Amino acid sequence: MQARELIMDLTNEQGGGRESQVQPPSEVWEQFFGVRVSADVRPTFRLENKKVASDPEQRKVVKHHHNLTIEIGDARLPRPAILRMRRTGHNAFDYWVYRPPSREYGHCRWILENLAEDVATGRRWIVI
Amino acid sequence: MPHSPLTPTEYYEILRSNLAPMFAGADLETSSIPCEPTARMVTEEGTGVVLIRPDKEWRGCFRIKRKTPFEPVDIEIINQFVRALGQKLVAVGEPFFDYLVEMCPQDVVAWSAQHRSMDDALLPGIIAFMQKWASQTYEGARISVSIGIDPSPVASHISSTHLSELIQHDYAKVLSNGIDTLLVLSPSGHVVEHLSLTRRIGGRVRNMDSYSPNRYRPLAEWATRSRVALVLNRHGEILLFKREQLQFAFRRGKWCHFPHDAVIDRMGGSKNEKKVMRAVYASCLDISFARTGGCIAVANGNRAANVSAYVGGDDLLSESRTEKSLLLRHLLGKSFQDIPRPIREEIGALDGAVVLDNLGVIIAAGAIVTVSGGSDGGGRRAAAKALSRLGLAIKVSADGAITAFSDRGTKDNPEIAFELCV
Repeated sequence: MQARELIMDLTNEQGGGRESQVQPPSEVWEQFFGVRVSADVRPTFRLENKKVASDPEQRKVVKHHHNLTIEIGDARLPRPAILRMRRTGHNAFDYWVYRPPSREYGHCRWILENLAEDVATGRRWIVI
Repeated sequence: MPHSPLTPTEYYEILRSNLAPMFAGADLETSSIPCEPTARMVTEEGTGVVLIRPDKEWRGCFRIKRKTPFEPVDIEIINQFVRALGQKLVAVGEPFFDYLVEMCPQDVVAWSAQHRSMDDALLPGIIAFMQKWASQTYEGARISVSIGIDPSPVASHISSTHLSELIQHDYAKVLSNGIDTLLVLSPSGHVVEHLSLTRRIGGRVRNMDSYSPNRYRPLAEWATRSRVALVLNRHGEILLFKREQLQFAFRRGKWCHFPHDAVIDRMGGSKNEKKVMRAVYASCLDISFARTGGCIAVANGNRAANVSAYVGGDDLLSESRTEKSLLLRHLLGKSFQDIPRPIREEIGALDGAVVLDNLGVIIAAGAIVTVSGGSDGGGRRAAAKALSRLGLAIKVSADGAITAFSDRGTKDNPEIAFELCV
């Protein structure tokens, strides 16, 4: 069964104004998005920012230096910030970017602090 | 990943069965040629001659030749085929290897049409389900659908329903008609809109002799810029349109490519005569996809005076000796290129040949051609070969294959100017 929800720290990603080009770890690509990092065939996603009333984004997964990248419109600075994504259908996801001092940010931070899969890389994440 | 190379015979069979059919009239030499390990995968050796190295792990290549030159777009297709094959070679020795190799032409078609924003699996997925639906029916009727992909759809119109979810339902088989309605998808494959293209076409100035079968023009004209339209028709054929032209068609189990400009170039004629050639070519596409069969000849310059050597006087419109020729003369009072395409298609479907002069004046229609005995093909082929002595003669068979004979070569073995979907 594919995981339905992802909660993940947003880091500075590629930096230098490219913070919205998010590079989740390979485990997240495989367990949540269902994409193998080594595959030549890459999907295009329908992303919908649910924090604001906005039109769906069409974002293709691209490879940057042996890592896969997805552009997420609202993942720009500042940090800290936490990304929450929910699968809504085939290659379709709703997303929220939470920042302090919101209650949602505090709730997701608690989940990452207590249940996150991987803190070694500096980016905490969990798929549910 | 390195793999053990195949035998030269196996490479030959892969190219012969899967690549050569994309280039009508091409001949793959049976013997391989040794090459350096650093040799390029695809090399143009000369006009109409290309060396293909099917595997970078193998120090050999094959020569593919045809009488007409390979255009840059042809070379690109060969390169894509070699790339597609390279991906499959890691499975050499596996029982499913042959099946993977058969997918190479389909990969080439998908890569040629795909915009960078599109999901890599979208076009191959559409082609795969169309091939599956080609053998199915809906309420007793064969399925005909049309799907468009718009790289820049209106964002607010993108639904949350993905094509892969939609096609699980039987009703998806009637959500477009394969002619003038279209189900439009976003680059991710989500449904955007269900379009009727009839009003749009009425409001535009149409290029009458566009490079698309006339019945699919609404779909072709939607496929502007990077848009792609795919059609499954009731014959089980899949047509792919891009840049307002028919680019590829899957017919009789094979993918064929339509290099329109190169074909027009090979039809010859002066700058002024090109308008006639374009009209003739467009009508050949119409006849080919209407599956009626036909034969159209264009007489060069003063050879129009020799038409009576091939066609009986009863069929000459200028003489109007019979009721048929009298009526056709009355109905076809214009040059061929000025007659609407549906009318030209119907005239082309008459039993017999249509013969024009180089300005497009119709000399004969539905004309029975005098042919010599001992022909190597059917009556239409024999008629086209005979009429080729006038300049150019094109035979369109009832199963859609198009073969054009030029006035070069001998009477019994005229040179082929071009072939499509053979």
